[in-house]
Amino acid sequence: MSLRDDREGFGSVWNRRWRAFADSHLLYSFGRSKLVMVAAVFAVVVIGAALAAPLIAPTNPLDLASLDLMDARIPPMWMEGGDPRFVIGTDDQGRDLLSALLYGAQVSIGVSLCAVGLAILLGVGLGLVSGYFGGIFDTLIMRAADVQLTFPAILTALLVNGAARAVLGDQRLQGGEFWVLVVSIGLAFWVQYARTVRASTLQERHKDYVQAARLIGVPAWKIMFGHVLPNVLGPVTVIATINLALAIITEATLSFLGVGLPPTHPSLGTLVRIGNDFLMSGEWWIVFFPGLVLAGLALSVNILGDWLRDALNPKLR
Amino acid sequence: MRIRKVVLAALLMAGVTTFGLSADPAAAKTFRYAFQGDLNSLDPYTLNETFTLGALANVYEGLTRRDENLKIQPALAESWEIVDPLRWRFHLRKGVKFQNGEDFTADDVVFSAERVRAQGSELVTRLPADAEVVKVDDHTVDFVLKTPNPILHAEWDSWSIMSKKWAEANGATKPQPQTGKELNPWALKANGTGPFVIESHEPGVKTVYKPNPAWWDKAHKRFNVDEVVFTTIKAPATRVAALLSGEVDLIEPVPVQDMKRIQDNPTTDVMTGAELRTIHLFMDQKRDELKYSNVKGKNPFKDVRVRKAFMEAIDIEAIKSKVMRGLASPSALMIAPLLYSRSSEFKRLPYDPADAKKLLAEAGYPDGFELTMHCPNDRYVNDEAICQAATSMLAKIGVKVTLQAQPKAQFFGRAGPAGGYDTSFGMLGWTPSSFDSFNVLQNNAGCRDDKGNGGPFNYGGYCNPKVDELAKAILVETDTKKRDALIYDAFKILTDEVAFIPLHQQALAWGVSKKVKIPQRADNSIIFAWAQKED
Repeated sequence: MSLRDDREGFGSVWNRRWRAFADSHLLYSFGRSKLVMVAAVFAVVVIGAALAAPLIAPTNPLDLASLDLMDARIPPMWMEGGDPRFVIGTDDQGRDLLSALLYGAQVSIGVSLCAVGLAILLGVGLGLVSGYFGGIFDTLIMRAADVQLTFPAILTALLVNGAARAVLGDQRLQGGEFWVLVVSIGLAFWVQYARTVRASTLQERHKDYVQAARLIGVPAWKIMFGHVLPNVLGPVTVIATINLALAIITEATLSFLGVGLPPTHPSLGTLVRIGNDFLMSGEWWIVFFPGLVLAGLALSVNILGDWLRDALNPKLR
Repeated sequence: MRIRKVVLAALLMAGVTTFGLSADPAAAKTFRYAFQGDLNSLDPYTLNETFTLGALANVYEGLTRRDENLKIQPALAESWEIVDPLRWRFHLRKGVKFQNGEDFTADDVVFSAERVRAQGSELVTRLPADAEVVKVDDHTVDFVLKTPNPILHAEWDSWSIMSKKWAEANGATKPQPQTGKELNPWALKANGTGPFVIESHEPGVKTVYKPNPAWWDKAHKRFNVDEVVFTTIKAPATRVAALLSGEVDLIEPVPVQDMKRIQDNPTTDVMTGAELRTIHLFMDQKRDELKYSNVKGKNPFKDVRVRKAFMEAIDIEAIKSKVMRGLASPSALMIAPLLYSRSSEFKRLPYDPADAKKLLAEAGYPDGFELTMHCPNDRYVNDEAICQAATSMLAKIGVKVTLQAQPKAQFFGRAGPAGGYDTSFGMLGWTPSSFDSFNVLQNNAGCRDDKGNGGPFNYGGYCNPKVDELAKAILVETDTKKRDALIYDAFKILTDEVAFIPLHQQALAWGVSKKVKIPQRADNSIIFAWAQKED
């Protein structure tokens, strides 16, 4: 087999891989569920639009000089008093809501992706160490994880956020709010990865290939990352997807509570917070559209995570 | 099946709690009110803020008090006379007891006079620093002045008299400073002579008041409630929802966007009036280098052209119509027109971003500069939204402002005297508690040191000795016409030099349940000792 692969050349390797993927259970189960397909389309559209925000947004909401207060609270264009310049209306500062939404989604998704990345890095690393070495490392890491599990994620995030603000001070924090959010959410979510990876590592550690590698003197870090890690990544992918939805919501919650990004730099949560003030006064669009995107995004990512979990779980096939 | 059980249990729980609440006999006549910010320290000298002073005015009393039309009435002092321009004699009321049972005597007045001027007090200007307070007998006190002061007692309604013995027993002889840090345990308690006692107080959560059975002025008792509960509800929509659902009887402030809804609701109403508070922007003109700016080695605000440019960049009509929905009157002065007869002679600098840009360029900032703005976000009507609007207006003339909006406890703690005026630019609102221009000239425009001696609420540290001279002359001038002319001169200097950027007087708006009758004072104090509630 491997000899023939070499002769096939680069293009056909990808071709073959694509065919293998097309034949796989993953794609099969994807094609079978309409809900998953809708969720995937929604997530791709929102994430794509958010990433392309600077290209497609009608205005730049971060450029304060472009705002005109006289444009404040204009309803969506199909309503009476609407303005074709502002498709889904404006907020209380005269920001184009569509642009704010696109840029806001970009911030929310960016924070969530980075936070999940940080959580994976921390959780997988600690989980591997814990499972592979056992003993005192295991005890220390897992007890720390237990303690952290007693707090809800949002509380951990608030704690870390508050501590960072106290240590850095308001002034030095400026511009760094994004990373404070990333760290506070990342630190709230690492436990799940650590536990999952540790459990898988405990199983893998005693398998023959690990024993063999140890026997021929491969260093521990190489066994952990080169041999054990690839075999425990399946569950991590699933958790990461579901966590992404949670991270989006956590970010929104923090911003909603006012400890996220400054009001001049909207994220989905900040937009919902601003719109919340106008819930009672008939200016529904300020809260409705950010809320809709937030709910839709979290839901579709969650559905995708569920699908991934089912598809990757051999016991459910 | 399981879900049904859960739902059933939840319903039962809900039923039990509502029943439990409504069946509570003590809640028969409870007046509940909510404000957007917290009530923190109960030390009446901690924070010179109308809301806090108003809340405490139901518990503590001054030598004088003001009625609903802001007229001065005797309170703990039965009467007073001006023996000579430098000696005022106050005859104290006899038979008044503090809430812990101690008698009110001249010693308490002497003690309170010392304490209100001590380090940590924000009410230092209630009494001239060089005035001497002399006990004549147990119920007579003399105030000996160095310079004549015809309005000596104008702000004494909010100078609470505290018990000397209680303060000494509780270690409360020094005022609780407004630092935003830990409160002393005694600052969570209160012991006044007023119509209400504080039963429990959790800062930021809830404060419960009960009537004081031993109050001396039962003849003038105007309230019919058995309990008053104050809660902080920060989110405007939640505050409105609480009023509409009957959970609270009064909210302040009413979000301007929800007035119509509250008015249209059959059980609630909006009480509006002209408020005396002037919302303004201050600029640090004291430091040689701004603390929060990218301009190093100099302070751009020391240049009048920069200050002028800032003022011309603000489109006050847009703020009025869009942020305040018409419920504000733009102001050229630091005082409300109601309080100064010649206000109409002053005009605001016009909105002119092009000229503002030119001025900035002339001052040496053709590309503008960066700085941080500090604002409260739970103190004034739409404070954060106004600051946000200001940031984008300033962006148009090239000034890049980073907005930092904070709850009032943090904001006052940092930008005020307690925090050493740790700010470069920001927003403040001011109601002169004597309802007179002198208060503004002294508190907002008087030269000050870094600790706040002089003009404690001069957050920007503006200083012009000429204004101080005029203020001194205004204080002792008794002829109204001459006095108004002097005030005119002082305000003329302040406007010409753009010492501040006055924005507007916000409209006063309370949302009230129709079951409640309560007078609304123009200084926006919620005096619930005047509240009548129907069943």
